[in-house]
Amino acid sequence: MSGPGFDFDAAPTTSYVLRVNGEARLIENAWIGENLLYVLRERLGLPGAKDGCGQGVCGTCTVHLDGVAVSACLVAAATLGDREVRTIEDLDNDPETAGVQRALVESGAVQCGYCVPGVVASACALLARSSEPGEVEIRRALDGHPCRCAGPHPMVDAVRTAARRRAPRETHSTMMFNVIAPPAAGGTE
Amino acid sequence: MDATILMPLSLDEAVDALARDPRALPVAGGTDLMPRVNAGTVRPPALVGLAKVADLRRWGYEGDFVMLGAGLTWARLADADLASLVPALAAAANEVGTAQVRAMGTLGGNILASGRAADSLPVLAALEATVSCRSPGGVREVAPHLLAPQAGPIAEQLLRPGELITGVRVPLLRGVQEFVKAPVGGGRHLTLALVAGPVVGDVRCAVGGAHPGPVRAFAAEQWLAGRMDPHTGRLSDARDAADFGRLVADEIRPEAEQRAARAHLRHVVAVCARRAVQRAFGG
Repeated sequence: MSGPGFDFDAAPTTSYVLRVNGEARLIENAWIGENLLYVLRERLGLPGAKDGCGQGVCGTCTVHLDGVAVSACLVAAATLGDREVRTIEDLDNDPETAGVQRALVESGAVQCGYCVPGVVASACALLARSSEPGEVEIRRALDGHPCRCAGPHPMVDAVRTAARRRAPRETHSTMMFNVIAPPAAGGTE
Repeated sequence: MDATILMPLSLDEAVDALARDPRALPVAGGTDLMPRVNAGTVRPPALVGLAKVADLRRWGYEGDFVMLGAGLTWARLADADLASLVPALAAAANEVGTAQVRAMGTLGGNILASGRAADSLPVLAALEATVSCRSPGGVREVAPHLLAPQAGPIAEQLLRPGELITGVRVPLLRGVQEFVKAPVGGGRHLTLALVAGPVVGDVRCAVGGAHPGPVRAFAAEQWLAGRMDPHTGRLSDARDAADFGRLVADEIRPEAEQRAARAHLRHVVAVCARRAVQRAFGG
């Protein structure tokens, strides 16, 4: 956060409300350039997401933003508006998360452990949107986690195991016919 | 809320906010701005957050064009519906950064970042798309392929102070679109987009990463168009792909400080162009 020649007293600050783990948290007089990771760890006491590279490369700071895995260090916290942040502290309450964690341990994907909270966050986001992800989909979802201890293969195995183990869910897609139609324009993401 | 952070609700409000304070930086995904803020090389005096401007994340048809909002993320551009409309942009989106970056990084942010690493620009240059730059005075349409790529950062040529990139107008084309990306060391990449229309004679090729902006290889495009069989649209000779690669490399002349590095970049451009043609035409 600090840098040579940076005058903190003159830095522009702001106050805003951040939605974290289902609660509205007030952030007061914070520098506008603070990234979400810093706010979570230093202002809100949520140290689960780890500070690695600060450049969006290592994936240790991964959290959920509206259910999607993102790098917290690349998010300008003050510009989030009413988007919902979920950290590993809250994900830990989901039974799905326990399944992912157990599979990671069993597959030998956990060694030094520094990147693991981020890996769990990415794996949970993937399993929430895809009931039976294929290998390519798993590798793409985890491509932001360059684990130098165990390498990528054990974590891919773990996600596959976790997906297989959970109870099969009823999905709408199994009930519907495929309708071939040109994509309709409009709408938000 | 104080003036250091503005969260406009509409395009008009966003453009007004930027016009009132030209020092303010627009933030959508933050994947380009925040690494520089974290490293201390950028100290934003004020931010205009675009999270609540839903219009930036829309897309729609406009005659023979598709309008893509500047706030569409890489992940969204790679989805099946948009991939079927603009395959080369989806292919580029699929090769950007990590899943976390693709989830946040936006099309407009990539154009604004405009470094050599802006993967969207060669694609837009090959498609001859236009970028919509909006200010309180109105909208300007700027075509990246008509700018001077060797002269310096494209964003400075593209955008006037206080303007906001609101979207991109991409022609809907039949035919093939290819995108090839190759790492060349030091975190640098070369990118190449190839568009070959169904009408024989319509070939367009742009290279990114070789110069500050995307560069079209007009002469090589014409040569390849001349090699297409007027009836089948196939190439006349299996060696055409490799020859095209050499022509593109000769025309693009990638920049590097050392002569050896320049030779390497030329080779990589040639290989990328050859692969793109082989994928597009088969063989």
